[in-house]
Amino acid sequence: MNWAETIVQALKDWDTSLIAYVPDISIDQVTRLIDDDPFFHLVSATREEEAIGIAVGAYAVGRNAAVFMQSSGFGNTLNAVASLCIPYRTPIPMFINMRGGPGEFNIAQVAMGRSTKPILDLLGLVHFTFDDDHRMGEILDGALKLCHAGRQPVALCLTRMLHGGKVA
Amino acid sequence: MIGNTDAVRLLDSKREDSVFVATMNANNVGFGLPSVTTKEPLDFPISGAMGKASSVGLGLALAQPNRKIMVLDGDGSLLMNLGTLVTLSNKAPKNMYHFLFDNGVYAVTGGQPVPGAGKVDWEDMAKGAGYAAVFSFDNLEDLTTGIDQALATQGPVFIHLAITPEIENTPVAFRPRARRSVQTAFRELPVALGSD
Repeated sequence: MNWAETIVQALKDWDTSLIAYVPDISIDQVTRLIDDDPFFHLVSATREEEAIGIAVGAYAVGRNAAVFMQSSGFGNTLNAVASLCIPYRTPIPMFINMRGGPGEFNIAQVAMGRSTKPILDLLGLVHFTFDDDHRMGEILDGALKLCHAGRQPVALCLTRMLHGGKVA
Repeated sequence: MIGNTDAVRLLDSKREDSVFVATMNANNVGFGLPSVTTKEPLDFPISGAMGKASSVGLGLALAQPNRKIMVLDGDGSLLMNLGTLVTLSNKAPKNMYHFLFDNGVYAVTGGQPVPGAGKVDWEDMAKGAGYAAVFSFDNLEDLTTGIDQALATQGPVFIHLAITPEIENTPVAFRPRARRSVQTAFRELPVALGSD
């Protein structure tokens, strides 16, 4: 399994079938698999905080949900995460394509990309970074278990090194 | 204009087993739920998470496609998450009834005017976004006679309500306490729907 298939498998293992997202060229490798798979219901949002709201609504009535976005979009989710997910304890896995690292070509992506993990720390949310797919299935499984056990969002940070983007 | 509480009471009388997902104003004690509604376990108040009621409602509607979802939104709230109109109509949940309580003010911050109050054509906005049907009511009598048709129409339906502004300026410590917290709603809703 490649990294994208590993994510899809982990979502299935945790019965996480409603996926809300804002598109990104790298996570497209995952969302395309999700779109082709009848297990999933894929919802395209106009803004990342909507995706959080949609996921919370699904979770509230018994359907596990996850979100996919870029690190820039994570910036757009902050009040939804802080005012919904954290106070009301909703375990939403957030898959974040990390911009602003090695190989970044867009100056506008650097500050938000670099501050994503410090912001997660300030919110008290656990994050895992995947630079390669070594033990990825195992770590993802553990991360999703932690997400549900702690009933808080967990961030899965996907880097250029993982998904094959140029780093130099 | 329609009184906020009158509107909530009327919708409550027509809800059957619908879930209410309500934003700021409709959550105010005295203005709406949970004070005047009759099926508390099916009330899902998203107070505090401004603008997210319609997104949360969409998640509910997709996860529970056989259950009618009634979102009680506000104009200030909806403006904070306007893209939701397109996201929602794109998914086109047949069980979604999106009510806009348009009172023209930010009622819980002292009644400051919402940008564009009285100028924005909400019916046009919802039609333009692609809702299956759009209704608008500016008095309780018309709402009372027209609500059945709106709720019998296949969703997603957008129902604009011109609401009398009411301002909540009582210091928080002196307001009547909400009978039911959002945490309680999160615990009770899946039980009420049999999906826990």
